[in-house]
Formats: sequence, C-alpha cells, structure tokens
Amino acid sequence: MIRKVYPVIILSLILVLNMLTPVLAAPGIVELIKPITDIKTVNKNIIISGWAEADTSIEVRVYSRVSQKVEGEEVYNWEEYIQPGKEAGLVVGPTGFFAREVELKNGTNKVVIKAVNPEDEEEIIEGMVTLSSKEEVREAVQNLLNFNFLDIIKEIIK
Amino acid sequence: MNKEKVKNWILIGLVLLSFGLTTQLWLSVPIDKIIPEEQAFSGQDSKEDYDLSSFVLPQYIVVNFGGQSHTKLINDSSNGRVFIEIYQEVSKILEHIFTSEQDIAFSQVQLEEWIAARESKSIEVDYRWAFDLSIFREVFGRGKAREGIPIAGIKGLIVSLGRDGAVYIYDGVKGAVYKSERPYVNASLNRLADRLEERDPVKYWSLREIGYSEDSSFYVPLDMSSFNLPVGTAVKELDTDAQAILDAQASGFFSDMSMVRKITEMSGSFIYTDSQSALLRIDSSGFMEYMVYSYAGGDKNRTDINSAIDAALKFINVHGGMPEQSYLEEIREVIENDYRGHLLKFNYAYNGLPFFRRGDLETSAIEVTVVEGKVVKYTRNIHHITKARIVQKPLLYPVEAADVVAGAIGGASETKSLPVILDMYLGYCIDTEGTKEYRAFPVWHIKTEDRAFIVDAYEGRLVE
Repeated sequence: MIRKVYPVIILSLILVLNMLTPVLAAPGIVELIKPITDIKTVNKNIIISGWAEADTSIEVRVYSRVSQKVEGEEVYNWEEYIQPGKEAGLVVGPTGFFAREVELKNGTNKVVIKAVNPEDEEEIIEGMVTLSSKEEVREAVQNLLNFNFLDIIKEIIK
Repeated sequence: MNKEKVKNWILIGLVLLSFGLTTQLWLSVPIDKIIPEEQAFSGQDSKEDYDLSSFVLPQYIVVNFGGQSHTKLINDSSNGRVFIEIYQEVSKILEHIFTSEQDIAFSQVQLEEWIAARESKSIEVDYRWAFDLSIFREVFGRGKAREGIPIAGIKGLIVSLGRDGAVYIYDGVKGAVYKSERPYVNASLNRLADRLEERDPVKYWSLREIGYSEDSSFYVPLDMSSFNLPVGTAVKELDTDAQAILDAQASGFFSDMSMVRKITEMSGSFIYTDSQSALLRIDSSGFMEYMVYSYAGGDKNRTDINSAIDAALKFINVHGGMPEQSYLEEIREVIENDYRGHLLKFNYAYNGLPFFRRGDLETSAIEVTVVEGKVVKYTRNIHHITKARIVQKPLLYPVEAADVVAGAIGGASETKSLPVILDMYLGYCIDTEGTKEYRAFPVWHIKTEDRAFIVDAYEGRLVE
C-alpha cells in the first residue's frame, strides 16, 4: 500500500513544483499593469506598461508565428518582428513607471519582456497575444449568431 | 520730304504713342496693385479682412476607430488635410444645429454618457477655450442663428459614429453635457474615419490606457518615431535696432506724431507718448505694449462679445496684422478702470504646434483688451522661424517627460506616486536668450495640478 502511495506523492510534488517554477524563477523585477498572458485583440498596437526599480533596463520584443513547410509537414517558428522605427530597449526613470507601445502582426504573437535591474538580476516575462482583424471577429460573431441552439437541443432529446 | 524727315516723324510718333499707352496703364491699374504696401512686421498675414471662423478652430480632433484605437489630429503638414476635411463635416453639423428651422432638441446627460461616447467609434473636437455660444452663432449661424439652445459656451463636442449618430456638446461654462439625437448616421465622417484608419496613423493613448492614472480626458502618443520636428531659428518680428521702422510703427498708433515724445530707457526700450491719450512701449526683445489713458469715448452699444472680437480684429489688422497659423486662444470678460470689457488672447503655431516663450508662459502672442468697442490695451510679441534643422534623434517619450517633471516637483518616491498630469502636448518654445537669433525647439507642455512645465523634447531638460 505504502509503495503505491510514494509514486503518487512524488508525482504530486513534481506537479506542484512545476506550477511554482515561474513564480520562483521571477524575482519580481517588473510589475506589469496588465498581464500579457493569452490576450486576444483587434488593435494592432498594444501597451506594455508597469513598474520597476529606477535604472532597470527593459527590452520588449515581439515574435510572430510563421509557418514553414519542411518535408511536406507544416512547422511553426517564431520570427522577431522588428518594430518599425522603435527601439526595443528602455531604461526606467526615477518614478519607476515605464510604458512602451508595441505593434503586432496578424495571428499569434509572442511578447517577450526582458528586464535587468541595477543589481544585474534578470527577469523574463513572456506572453501570447493574438491579433485578429475586425472582419475575422465580425465573422465569428455572425457565426455565433447563426448558431441555432434550439436545433441542437432538439437533436439531443430526439 | 526726304527720307530722314519721315524717319524723324515716325520716331516722334512712336515716342508719343509710348507716352500715351504708359499713362493709360498707370491710370487704369491702382498703385497698390503695382507696389505692395511695405510691411514693417515681417511674415505677417497679408489678409485685410479677417474671418472669425479662421481663428475659432479646434486645438485637436480625436478620431476613435472603435475601442482602444484612436488618433489625435492637429492642423499640421502631415494631417492638416484630413483635419480640415473632418472639421468641414463637423462644421456642417454645427451649421445645421444653429440654422435649422426645425427645433433641434437638446437634453442634458450625465458625464458618463460623454465618456462612453468618446470610448466608442466617434469624432471628438476640442476647442482651446469654452467659447461663448454667441461666437459659434456668428461663425456657424452667420447672424441668422436660431435661439433656444441651452448651451452657454462650447469647449468640445463628440459626434458618435455609431448607430444613433448622436452629437454631444460639452458646455465648458456650466460644466454640463448636452446631447442631441440625430436621425441619421454621418456617412461622410464614417468614411473619413475609415480612410484614416487604413492609413495606420500614429496611435494616441489616454493615461488610463497606459496605466499611468485613471485620467482618460486627453491622449498622448507613445510611438515617437513618427514625429520629425525640426529645431528652428527664430527672429523678432520687429527689428528694434531700426529706428525708422519703430518710428513708422509708432505713427500708426497716434493721430498726430508732432505731439508725441520719444523716450529711450536705460534698458533699451522705447516709449512713445503724447501724454494725453496713449502710450506705446517697445522693448529690446520686440515686445510691444500699447495702452490708452482714457477709456471714455467708446460706443456703449458695442459691449457684446462679437463687437469686441470685431474691434480687436480690425485693430490687429492695422497694427501688425495676424501672423500665420494664428488662433483665438481665450476670450474672457474683464473689468478695466471700472469699465466692463473683454480680453482676447491670440496665439500662433509652427506646423500646428503652439508657441511658448521662455519666461513668459502665461502671456499670449497678441492680447487685446476692448472696452465698449474701443481697444484700450494691446500687447504683441511675435517671432518668426527663419531656418529649420532636422534633428536625427527621437523625441522624448511622454513618460520620460513626466519623469523630468517628477524630479522637478520633489523627486521620486518609493510609493509609486506619479505627478498628477491634467494635460500634456507638444509645442515649440522660443528661448529669447541671445541678441538677434533665438532657438525654437520642440517641447512637452505639461500641466499639473499646481503649475505648467516645459520640458525640452529632445534634450529632456526642464526649461520652465
């Protein structure tokens, strides 16, 4: 019985530790005003803003997902989307507040924020931001409106 | 008659003919068409009759494409055309409001409704001042405007581009919002907004969207790479070293120059006075100040705001004219020597951006006080950009400019406290240090709860 419990405990610990990893790894150099986890937007430009210690260097980079055919199979890669005319880096001023506008490409984008504080500690925050066109959203809403729930219910109780 | 005599007669005939034709030409074409009137004020607008609608203009137009996507337009070289096109359409709406024979109903609504309207697809027009309704009546009603509009002064308006097509007017005098339902959607404005969105203009953000504060009353850009503002060289409008020009200017203010004394002060200023009616002072920086001693003699029937504007514009026209890109910045009632009058402040812009003078932020380029249809005070301080140099470096981000202000008002604190900013926008500052040529450079004008700051938009230093 005890032998069976051990693997369960070990697996549970692994799971818990795995969940805690990002928290433990982040020394909290940057505090974002709005988290960048799984954002869906129709705006081509988004704001990355937040708080950090003065003189912290912050780099905001955007990677867009591109697909390539490799031996007949579709492979996805991340390609940096160099922001036209914008510098990736900034140094946080004395108030500790920073803000930067980034431009997205249609589809899935990976936003990577790299922060290095004056003590040379580093933090990397990543997030996925999906940019859809207004037409795509309109179409999705239209599809939802056309969806006949009554027919489905009838189908189920038939 | 020999050949020589014939030749002589032909020659005499030709000379007489040329005299006749030349005389005819001089008589038929007015002299002022041939020799333009000399302008002592360099760069002044040569228009003679000023139209009020040229000066009562929005300081900006915000186009909201729907949701958190908006841009701010000023009347500059890059967006001037679309600014004018949009404002023409908005003007049609205002003309309809002021001249329609149908009774257009206005209902007072909560400020929240105004905020909701500006957060959806809309056109927002912001004037520099809550101009009295009678000014709008004059501009958009052309003297035949209808009565019964409950608004006292218009500071801004929003045309909703949604399904209802409502117009919201912000009454800056009463601090109230009025809504007028419109039965149709403005297709032209919608088209202009869509066309502008396709051009992917610079996005502007409210401080709330940026996360700086909860304020969403104004917008700033965060992509400074799109701005290409040159640094210029400015010169005084009046060459104060040229005595003849100064004397000629002074003669325009006094009817009998033989009665006028000229006093030269130690500071280099010149004072012209007839000791009876008026005084004119021109200092070495080119600042001109005219004051009348007696306020009597005005027309008691001309005490209204539009008469004051009319008198001011006519006076400016004769005494220096309007510089290019000038606009009415403020108009308010004042009491001068127990007389009720109006103070009108005009300023001017360089490529759509307003000018500020270092050491003199509160004074406008032209200020006129009118009492009973008579100008009793007139100040003028204008510079012209003569050279412009492109700067190969990005402008300061607004957050960086706010950092400079935070440093100036007590440094950074540990508690994530930021200076409360009520408004911030780009402009040009003229640094009047030096003798003949001054530096004109882009600045951030930041208005906080306590005072206004000017931050050099390239160097990041606090100017004022």
